[in-house]
Amino acid sequence: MIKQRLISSKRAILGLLIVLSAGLFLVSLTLGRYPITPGEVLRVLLSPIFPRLAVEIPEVSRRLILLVRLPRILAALLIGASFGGTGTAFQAIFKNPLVDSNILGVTSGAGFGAALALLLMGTGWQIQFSAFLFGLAAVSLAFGGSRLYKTTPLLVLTLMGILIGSLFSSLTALIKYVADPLDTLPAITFWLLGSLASITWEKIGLLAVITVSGLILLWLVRWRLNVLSLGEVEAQSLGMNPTQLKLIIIIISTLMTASAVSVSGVIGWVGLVIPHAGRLLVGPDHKYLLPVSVNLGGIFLLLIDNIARTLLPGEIPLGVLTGLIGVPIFIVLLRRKQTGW
Amino acid sequence: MEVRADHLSFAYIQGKTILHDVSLEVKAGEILYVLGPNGGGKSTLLSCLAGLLQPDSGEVYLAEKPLAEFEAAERARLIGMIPQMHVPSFAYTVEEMVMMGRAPHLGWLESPSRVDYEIIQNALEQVGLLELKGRPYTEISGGERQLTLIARGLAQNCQILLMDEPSAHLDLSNQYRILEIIQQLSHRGLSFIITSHSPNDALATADRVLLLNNGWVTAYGPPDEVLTEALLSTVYGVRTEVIYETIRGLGKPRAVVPRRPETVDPQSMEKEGSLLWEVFEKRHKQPQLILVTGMSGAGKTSWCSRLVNQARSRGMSVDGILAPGIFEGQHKTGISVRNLKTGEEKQLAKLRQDDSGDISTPRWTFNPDVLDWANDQLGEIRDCDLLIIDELGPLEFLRGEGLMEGVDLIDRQDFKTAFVVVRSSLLPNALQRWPDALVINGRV
Amino acid sequence: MNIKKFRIVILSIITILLLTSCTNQLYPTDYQSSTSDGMDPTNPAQNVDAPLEDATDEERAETAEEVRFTIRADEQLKPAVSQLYDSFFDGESPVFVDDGEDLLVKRWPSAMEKLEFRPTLHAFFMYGAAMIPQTQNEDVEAFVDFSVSLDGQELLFENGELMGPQYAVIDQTETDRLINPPLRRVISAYGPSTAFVYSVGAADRLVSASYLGARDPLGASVMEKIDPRFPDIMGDDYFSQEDFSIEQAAALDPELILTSARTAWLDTAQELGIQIFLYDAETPESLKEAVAKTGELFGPNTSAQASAWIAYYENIIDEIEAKTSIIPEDERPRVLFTGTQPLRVASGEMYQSRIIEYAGGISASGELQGYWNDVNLEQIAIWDPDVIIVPPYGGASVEAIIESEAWQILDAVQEGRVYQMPKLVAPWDTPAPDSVLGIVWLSELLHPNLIELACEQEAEYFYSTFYDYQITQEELDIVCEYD
Repeated sequence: MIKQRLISSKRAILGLLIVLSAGLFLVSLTLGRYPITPGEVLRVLLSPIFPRLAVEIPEVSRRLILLVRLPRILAALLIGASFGGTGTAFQAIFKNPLVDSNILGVTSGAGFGAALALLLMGTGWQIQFSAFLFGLAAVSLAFGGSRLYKTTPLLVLTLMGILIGSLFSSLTALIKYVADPLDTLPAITFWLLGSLASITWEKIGLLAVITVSGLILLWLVRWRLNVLSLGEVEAQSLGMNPTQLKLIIIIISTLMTASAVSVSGVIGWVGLVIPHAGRLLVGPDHKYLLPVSVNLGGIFLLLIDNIARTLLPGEIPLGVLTGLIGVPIFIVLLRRKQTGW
Repeated sequence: MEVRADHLSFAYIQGKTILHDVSLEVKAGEILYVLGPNGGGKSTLLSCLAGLLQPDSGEVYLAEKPLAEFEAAERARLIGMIPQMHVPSFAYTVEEMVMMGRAPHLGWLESPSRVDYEIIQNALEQVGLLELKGRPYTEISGGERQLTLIARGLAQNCQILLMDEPSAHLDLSNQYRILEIIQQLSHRGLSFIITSHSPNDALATADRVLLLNNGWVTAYGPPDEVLTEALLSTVYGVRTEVIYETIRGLGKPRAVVPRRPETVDPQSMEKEGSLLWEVFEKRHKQPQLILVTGMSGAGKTSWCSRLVNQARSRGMSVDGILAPGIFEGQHKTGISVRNLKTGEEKQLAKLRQDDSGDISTPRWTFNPDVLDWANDQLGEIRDCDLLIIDELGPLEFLRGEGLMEGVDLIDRQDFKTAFVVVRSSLLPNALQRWPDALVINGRV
Repeated sequence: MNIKKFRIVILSIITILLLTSCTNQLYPTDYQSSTSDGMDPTNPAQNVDAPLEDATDEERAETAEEVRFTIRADEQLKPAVSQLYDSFFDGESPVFVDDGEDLLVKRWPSAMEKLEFRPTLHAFFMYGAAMIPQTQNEDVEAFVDFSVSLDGQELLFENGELMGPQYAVIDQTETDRLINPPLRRVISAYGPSTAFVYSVGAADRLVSASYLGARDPLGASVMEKIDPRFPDIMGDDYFSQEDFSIEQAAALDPELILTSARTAWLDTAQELGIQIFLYDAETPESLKEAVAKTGELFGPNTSAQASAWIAYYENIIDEIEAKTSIIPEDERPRVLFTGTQPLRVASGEMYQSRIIEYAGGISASGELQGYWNDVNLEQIAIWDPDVIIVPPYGGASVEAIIESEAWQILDAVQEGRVYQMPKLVAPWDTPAPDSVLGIVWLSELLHPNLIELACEQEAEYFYSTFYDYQITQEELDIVCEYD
């Protein structure tokens, strides 16, 4: 039957993407500027179980794999998945395919938090913490602000998000203005550009916990996203409490985005475009779209980051590559499937 | 399953009540049509019935249990709501769209299972959309979308379907298709409450009709009792004509059409069979009110003068007032008022120069003394053959001041035939007051 | 002093001089040709005009109640000296002698003799002519100071002894800039250009300046000791490469604005109609050029001081080169210069890479191009540097690297060979005059057994000579430490 085939093809695509993520994860471990053979990588990975395997591996290779490549690859997967998932969820609850989880100002807030920490305290965990905190604060402000006004909350919420976002952007600009151009300013600019080069295991802890649990929660409510995307009134008439679910999803997504942004700095584009790519592959049904977007996001960011860290001696900014590589891929997808959004 | 609303009132903003004391009852398998002008409160009523809005007073009962006591999901398993034509942001397939009807039957964290798939196949089959189930909802026709939403209601497995203007924007064949499905489903025990702008749909399918105007129930009952010329004229302010079933004899109304005012020549009073002739022939049975309408400057006053002359020449007693314009060259700069019986004439209004004067309309300032005088003249009129009032305007209909003696005179029916000039923009107000009045175009 | 009165006095003096000793005016033409080669100013026998000059001088000495000090001067310099003397001592005339003088005024090569490793500064009141005090005398010192001061210089300009009234200096964008000497009011909107101005001894001309490395407490406190005016003229709020407050600039009424060629507001400043002088000093060659041009802008003394710095800079580089040339290219230590972030490194085109080369090392990230490059740790592992240098700004710290677990893949990190480039005020790694000390410091770090230079000695010399500042022992301990 056609239906059976349609659904099984969606399942096949999802399965393929999961296999692809896992494969890309392993392949990525063997990629890098420093020459390490796949065999060495494998032996290092298995060494916790078979300690004898790691004996002849040079210390440099072992540390590079465990301390540099592994956290960075994991971070790329997690952050990509996080952006893919939250972008999909936000597009559904805002009934708007042109938003991502930044619409409520989380990134601007996190950017301000990081800049403030850089200005006042210098380096270290404070930056991540402050970025995370102000990301949440921005969204809370946008959400609280929208409650001041009673009707059409979705539109008001979007507007408040944009307003709060620009407020925090202004504050960041203010900090950049007072920051020492030789001292603090380069660090702030660097942070705002977004990079995965300085990922360490300590930074990954919180990111991993929040991202994985957030993705599980989103995955559980994935089908409800369909109903939510019809709008508040229809969801209500279909026996749901859309306000409550929306609030939960916004909180989860904001936590996820803030933890991602606080680690990587600002990486745009992924959360906005990956859900569209997912829709081109499996259609808008969030039952499949959400897991597909999560996988696509992870794969895409990992791919991009692999290129960023291996192609040239210098790191290529992620923002350059997301557009340069993402847009052609997206156009190819668009050409292949011309109907339905 | 029976749904009942008792004395519902609702206001979005305090003081601006949208629904006033609305009661209704729909039994299993019944179809209720809610008709009324735009902004009359139809959609608000549907939202109250669906439990999306909480009425300020009154109660909705579902199988004799107050709706407010139902859990949201439980309620959604009984009442389905089909919104007005809308296009979602994402191109869900017909099947995925129908599947959303399973939401009230599934737990929070659940996704549809095989059982749900079977249920929606069944729903799609019932509305005849099985072939289209893989198509994006955004790309099918309006009728098919409406059917999809009905199928969603079926997948919801509910007992009552609320539909907001299902036939709006549909072509004739799609309207027919929707009405057919609605009737078939009602035969299987599904109840419908449908808002509509089409009295004809209601005549064709409804068991009951609720006529809602400005939040008040104007009429409630079987379609042939509610959809009468008088009631529709009152509610919509348009003279209507009900067309009856003629193939199998009289009795069942089939359609309601608006009746456009005829242009009548004052001379035609002499012509046997003409409208005026009939009016004057029948005048002895009961007083007849005729509203003379037309655009401003169409010659309504001249038309009245001619009619007066015509009537006098036939020996009828004529009374009332005429309001000829005062002209300076081409420009009308004032209005005078003339007692048709005595021929006395005074200047009633002049073109407005400033803000002075509390009796005024946007263009005219009225002389209160003359207004009193005109009212006195009208108050003295007793039992005449032909009453002319030229004209009743915004002061009387919108503000309840001005020539109120004239309004009383018409209400008293102290005449055999009355011709009252009303400009076309005020016609709905006049028809709401005197729904039985005839309307003609006074053009020379 | 009231300038109008001043001018009238000078004009009358000139008139008197012209009338009384017109013979003096005739000498210079044939004097110049006779003494152009092999002149030895210390040998009075060469001075053919001495007897005639002596006569008039003695005559004057007799009339003076008391001789302040005696001067031995080259013949063609005497008019200028006399004008200065007359002006400074209110109409008095100098006493010229042939030997036993208190002040020696003579032609002096403006480019410092390369043989002198650490050049001594002299007071160049005219191009190629210096005043060298021979005895300790307050009047002598005051007179010398006056001669190279703005007032003294202006006097010489007006009398035509110095080039003027306008001259052109080509800036580093190859643009001719017309200068009306002497410059009295200058804004430096670019940190390095401020350092250039200080190191050529023209800091008194600044009315507002943006500084390198003077924002941190140590830099600011030292800068205030170097120049007490620093808190008043520090203009970072109004003038920088990015921002330019046109109102503030107009209020300061500057004659010249110094800034970088890569300045955002050049068009705006043109609106003011103020002369702008642009720098583009990112390489050693352009740095030397920038210092030389800065000296040229302000007059003979600053020109000479600029030449002295250039000579010193080249001497230091030559000295290290002489000692390290025996090391083959592939045995030189590989030095990684990181930026404000540990994973940001200097490209091969940057001045930092030149410092490394001059100090006898190899820039590990020299293959990179452009400005600062962001890299990852794997790339650094491939480079496997022997030494890592972090800069003294941008929140960069040695700890950020040595405390990172991931960085332990590098031997340099495990063995603690991560150092922070010092700074007193301006960082020693930026293309500013102070960077000569960065080269000394790094060479000592890389080749302790080969290099005989000592950071402390060179820092003491550098700051006392070019910044006129006696660096304290505490400051030396900070800047010349290798932790």
